[in-house]
Amino acid sequence: MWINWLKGWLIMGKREYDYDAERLAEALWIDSRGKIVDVDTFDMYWDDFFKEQGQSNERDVKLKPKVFRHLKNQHPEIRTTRTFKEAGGRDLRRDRKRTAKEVVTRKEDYKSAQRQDLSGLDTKGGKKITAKKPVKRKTFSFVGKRKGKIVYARKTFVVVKGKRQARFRDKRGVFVSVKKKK
Amino acid sequence: MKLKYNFDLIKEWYDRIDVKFEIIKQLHNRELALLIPSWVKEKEVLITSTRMLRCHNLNHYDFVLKDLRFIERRLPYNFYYSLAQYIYGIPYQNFNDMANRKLVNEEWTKTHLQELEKFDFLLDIDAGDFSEIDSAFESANKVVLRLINLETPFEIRFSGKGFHVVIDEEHFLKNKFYNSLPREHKLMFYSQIAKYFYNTCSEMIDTTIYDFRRVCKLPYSLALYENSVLVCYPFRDYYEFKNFNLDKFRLKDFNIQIKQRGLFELNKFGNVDKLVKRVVDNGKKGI
Repeated sequence: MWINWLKGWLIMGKREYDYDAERLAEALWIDSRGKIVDVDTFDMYWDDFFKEQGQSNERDVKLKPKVFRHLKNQHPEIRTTRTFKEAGGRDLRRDRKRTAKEVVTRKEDYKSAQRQDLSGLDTKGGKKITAKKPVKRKTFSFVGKRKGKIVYARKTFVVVKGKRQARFRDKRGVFVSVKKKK
Repeated sequence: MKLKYNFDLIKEWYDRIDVKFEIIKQLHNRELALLIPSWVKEKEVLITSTRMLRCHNLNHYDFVLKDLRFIERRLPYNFYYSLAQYIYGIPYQNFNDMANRKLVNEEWTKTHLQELEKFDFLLDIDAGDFSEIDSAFESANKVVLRLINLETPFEIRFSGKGFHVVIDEEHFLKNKFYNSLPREHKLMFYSQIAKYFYNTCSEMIDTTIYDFRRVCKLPYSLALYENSVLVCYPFRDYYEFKNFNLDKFRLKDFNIQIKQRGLFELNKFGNVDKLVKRVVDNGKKGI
């Protein structure tokens, strides 16, 4: 009996259950409206989920596989394989919208596509592929105002009359006014 | 770990009888969670976060303070409570048999929705750091004015580094549209309300986590940061909120009478109909 008390005292407060992964899994499922069917769609909705908050942080990246496991436990119909195996998990939809000549969304189209911009993807399956560096995400770490709405902005630089000056843009690329930090 | 504040002051706060009663009143049939804040980097401290605590009376409260010994262990716990309220509260916790406790809690997390009585709406407005608190206040002010305009009953609280707007689900349950939604869609609808305010008022609103296990900072508890300790404070009315001053809520300078203060609802006799209609109409326009 006292052994159990000792064990309880020693591991008091230890995290026995990953509540964060479970909560994230539930929130992600709700946000995707139940459309996660495999690892590729999971990655896609994961990126969308964190898009509004800017970059996902290191903690979220570590939670990602746990979140997928929780989702799989709750919804066994989710496949643990990728539809676009050769892409290795890159969000084909995001890259394609920005640089591709032809947007491919179906598995069958991907296999037969020839002119594609597979930025940073595995190029073994495709023909005539131009590899480019993936676009880096900007950090929106300044608080500004645009038309009365509080927005997050990033610092950019413009040259005005030969002088380099800082300007702030929000996620839509619109200039916003930012107060100096105290 | 090295912390720059006086734990004796924190102990003194939580030992106050008026604080005890104000905290216990809010935890009826809800879960209490003691979470280590994200600015703490030491892994051995981070893993001491504890959820699934039952705190419905003074005995439970004294257990949380004394038996978890977080003051002696100098653990910078923040107190949270679940937005979900359950018919019988969370299961009784047996800390003498941790293996059994783990099984009971795991089983309960699978079936807790069956005992869910209500789930309140939370709008979380967070400043990244204290230099942005003015912007967070401005964001909260925009949201508050809009809710007043829409005659929606709500509570506005200071959460340490931001503000919380809470709407009791009882008000939503009187709305026809909300009542027609299946349970999972109600949560999606909450997410839509948050996105509406995100798109129209401020990007400081957190729209990411809307789930049935969501926890919220407990009013009248302390928010612990690296260099400061603040009191999480529910505002009585718009006038008190409008005159917000961060320094008034630092623990060492806090001198507001809280005995039998409770929580306050603005627009007490209003309803959520206009808010629901606005969110639905904007959803149709794609906002």
